[in-house]
Amino acid sequence: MSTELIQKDNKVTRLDLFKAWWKWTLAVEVPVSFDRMQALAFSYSLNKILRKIYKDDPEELNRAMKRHVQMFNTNADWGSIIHGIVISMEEERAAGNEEITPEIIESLKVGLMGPLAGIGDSVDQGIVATIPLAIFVPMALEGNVWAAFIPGIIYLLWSYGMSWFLFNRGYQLGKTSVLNILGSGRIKKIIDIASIVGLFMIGCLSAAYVKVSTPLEFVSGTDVVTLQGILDGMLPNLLPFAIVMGMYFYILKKGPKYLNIIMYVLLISIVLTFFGIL
Amino acid sequence: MVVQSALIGLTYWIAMGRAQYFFSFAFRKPVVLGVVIGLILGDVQAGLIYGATIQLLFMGGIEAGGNIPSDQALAACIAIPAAIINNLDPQAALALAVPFGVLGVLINNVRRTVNTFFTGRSDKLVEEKKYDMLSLYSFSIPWLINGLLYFTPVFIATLFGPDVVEAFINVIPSWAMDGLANAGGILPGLGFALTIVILGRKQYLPFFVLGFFMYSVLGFSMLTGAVFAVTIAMIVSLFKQNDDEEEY
Repeated sequence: MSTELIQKDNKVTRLDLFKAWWKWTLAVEVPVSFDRMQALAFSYSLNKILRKIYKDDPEELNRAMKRHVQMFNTNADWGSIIHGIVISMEEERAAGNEEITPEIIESLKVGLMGPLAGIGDSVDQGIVATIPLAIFVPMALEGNVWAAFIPGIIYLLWSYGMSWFLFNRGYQLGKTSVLNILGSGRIKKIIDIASIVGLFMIGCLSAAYVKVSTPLEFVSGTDVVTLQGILDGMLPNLLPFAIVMGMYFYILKKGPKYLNIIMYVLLISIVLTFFGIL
Repeated sequence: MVVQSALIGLTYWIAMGRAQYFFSFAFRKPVVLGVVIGLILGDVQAGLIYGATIQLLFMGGIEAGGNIPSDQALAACIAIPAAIINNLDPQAALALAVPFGVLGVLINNVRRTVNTFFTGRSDKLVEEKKYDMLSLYSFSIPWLINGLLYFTPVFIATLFGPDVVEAFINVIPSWAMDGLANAGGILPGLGFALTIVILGRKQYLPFFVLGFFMYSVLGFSMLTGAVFAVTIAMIVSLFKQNDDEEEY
């Protein structure tokens, strides 16, 4: 009878989960440091829940606190599933399940944060944040104020909804959950479709917004021929295309050295403009 | 101007201070900041156009592992006020934004170095079982201290920056200014190239080429482009599905 009462008292409620999730979204990137990345945000999120779960065992609580201020780094949205899983595991451990050792909890955290960061960053930032920008920024350029906010609203709905969903999912399913989600073919297919949409849209945008042309002209017989006219006759927008492709292969070959590319572009454009080639 | 500068400093803190990460991530887009800064300085339309132009450079602003490739919010918060006040050409505003985007990466690195102090502190607080203090050191205190780091440079730059930019523009020869504007026309290419890399999969590159030349020849609206894109992607996935089935 008495153990039942204690268990009830220690039980994690939906409100506790919500508060932990909210704190995670609030803090996630704030205390990020070079040595432990998001460690403190993780501990901030679980602080109250751990104190509730281990209410009757200060020593265990202290050990739990210690293991959750260790290095942690993942995608803010998809990584929420880790919190759910860890909470459910800590809860089981506190309830006396000896099979859940601190090592299992720690290795699960460390093992999941990498893959979730990879998939989460590419879906959230590469697709959900980028493709709506590709559609609505051109409207903003035409002076539509509302178009400026739509990509952000889409991103917010997605990331808050998704992370709350995953947080709960993790808590309900425990440690098996992530394998289910990461392994499902549907996610792969959605990413595939989104990549194609993204690439096509970036193609349209590059054609629309990379602006470069040459004023060079020369005399052939009695006519004045412009170089740009010849280029346009070959392929429209040939120069912008060559530039984007050039930058793409540069990044692929030399890694993400944006600063170099920016410096080259500034330098070369000023020099070529000086000589009247651009 | 002091009040406006302070407001823009606060805007930058909201954008990069990262409290409520999802919100700050949506807020820090130059196209959004352009409207906000335009509102503060009393010219929403101009802010919008500058913001959207600068946005082109930061299309693929992915922050893998918390490493920002370039600080789009600092670029926006410094270039847009200067551009509005000096009535700059959008291309020139874009070229002006670039160096500050790079500078912002430095602020992020300083921040993450400062924050190591709090992680060091956390071990001690756990040792002493001061869990409420631990909470305080995990969010509120770093957030406020980072705030100084973000607010100050933008506040000062907005207060004095536009005059400096104006003086600079008056001195600089016209070919150099044209050169900068030309660079401003080319630089969005970097944002796009970066996005292609992020979307990954070299074998999908033909879809970029298709989009590029379809637009070059036909010149449709971007929403039409999106319809084409989704249709093509669906058709491709239809074929892929069949391939997969054959494999099994």
